[in-house]
Amino acid sequence: MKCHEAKRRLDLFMDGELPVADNLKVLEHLNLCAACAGIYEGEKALRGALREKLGRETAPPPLAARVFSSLPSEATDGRPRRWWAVAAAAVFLILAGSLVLAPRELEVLASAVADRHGAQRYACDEGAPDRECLCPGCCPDVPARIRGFFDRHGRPDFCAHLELREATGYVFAGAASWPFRGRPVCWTTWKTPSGGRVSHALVDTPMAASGVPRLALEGGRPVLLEPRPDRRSACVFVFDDEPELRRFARLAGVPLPDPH
Amino acid sequence: MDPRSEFEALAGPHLDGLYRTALRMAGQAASAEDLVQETVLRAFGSFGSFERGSNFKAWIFTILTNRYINDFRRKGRGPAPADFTDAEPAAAEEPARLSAEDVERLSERLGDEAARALARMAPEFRLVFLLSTFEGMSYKEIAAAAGIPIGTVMSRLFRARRILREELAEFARASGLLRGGSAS
Repeated sequence: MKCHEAKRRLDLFMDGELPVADNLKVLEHLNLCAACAGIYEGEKALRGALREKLGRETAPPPLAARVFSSLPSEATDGRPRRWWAVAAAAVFLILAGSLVLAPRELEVLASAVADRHGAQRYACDEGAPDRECLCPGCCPDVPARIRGFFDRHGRPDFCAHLELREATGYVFAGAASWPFRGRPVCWTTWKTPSGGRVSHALVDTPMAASGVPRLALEGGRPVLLEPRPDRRSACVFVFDDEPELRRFARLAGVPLPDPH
Repeated sequence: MDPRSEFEALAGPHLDGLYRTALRMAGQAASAEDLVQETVLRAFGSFGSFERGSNFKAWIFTILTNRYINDFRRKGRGPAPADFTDAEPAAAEEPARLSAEDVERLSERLGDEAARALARMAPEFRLVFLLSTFEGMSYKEIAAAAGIPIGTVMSRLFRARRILREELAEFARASGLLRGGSAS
């Protein structure tokens, strides 16, 4: 290993994030090269001194007492009532009953969402060129038409990044918006704790009054189509993660139809 | 064990770390205490959805991060999110380094100067730095807590360390604590 390679890996080495083989190579280089060993020693001393000086603050004792005594006597069921979770629950509740065809428009949208499912397009937090973030709550650059959309749905400060992550453990993987028949689609995709993905899209669409949620297959993936109660908008969920699909079902307390 | 005792047993050991992080992020003891209190309350409220056996520390720090962003960034009290795409210099120039002797000489002032440098740092950088340096969290845990990809954790950490080293070296030079040229 050359000096520049060792230096490049030094932080990772010290953070314990290098694969074993690379770790050994860095160690070997530090044993042989006094200059790099000097840098390593300096870095080690700096980290140690920082931990010593700044890493030892403790919470004031009254804080612990106050924090724990302020807890309610029982934990809630632990699932904050996010509108999307409630929507998903409603989907499954109704799924168990009747499967009535929703308007064709939603299928077309579902197909567009399924096409994008799995794409990796960062927005907002990542400063990527695709700046059309969907989170009016956390991103100042949300285009007015998207902002208006959330305003109309009574969630002017909704933040998909935070609220979904907190409720589900999903990690934000991508977001975009695109026009669908002249109306914006707000789309996000999430990595699930089990390594799969869930996509969600929301669009204003004139739903027939009889439109009800249903399950469909688009591109081989299960898709949930759900007119929202206002009859003016609809959600599309795309899953490639069966545990999550089942988790949604469990959430609703309804058995999922056997996929086989 | 009832959920409340179980929660207290899990959360108790992390109060110091939560407070330390909150203090450096919020800047004031009173805000830090509020932030920790709100975090613990929120965590207890969501405790039913915490998967037993998974990483409690990463989970509760995620909630702290969310609370911080909610309180500071969303209410416009913190700086706007920076655009990091062009933040990396094209040529990887050699960053400033302090030798072990430099650190020793700085020792008296190092804590104060580092605290000042951290307070000036963009919160996005500061957060990953705090979680890594003081809370010993892995890149993966930080990624989960901050809601960013691992690659972003690495680049923010790299930048944060670089800023800190440069500021400390600059302070040392200006105050004559370093021998000429020992911090390059």
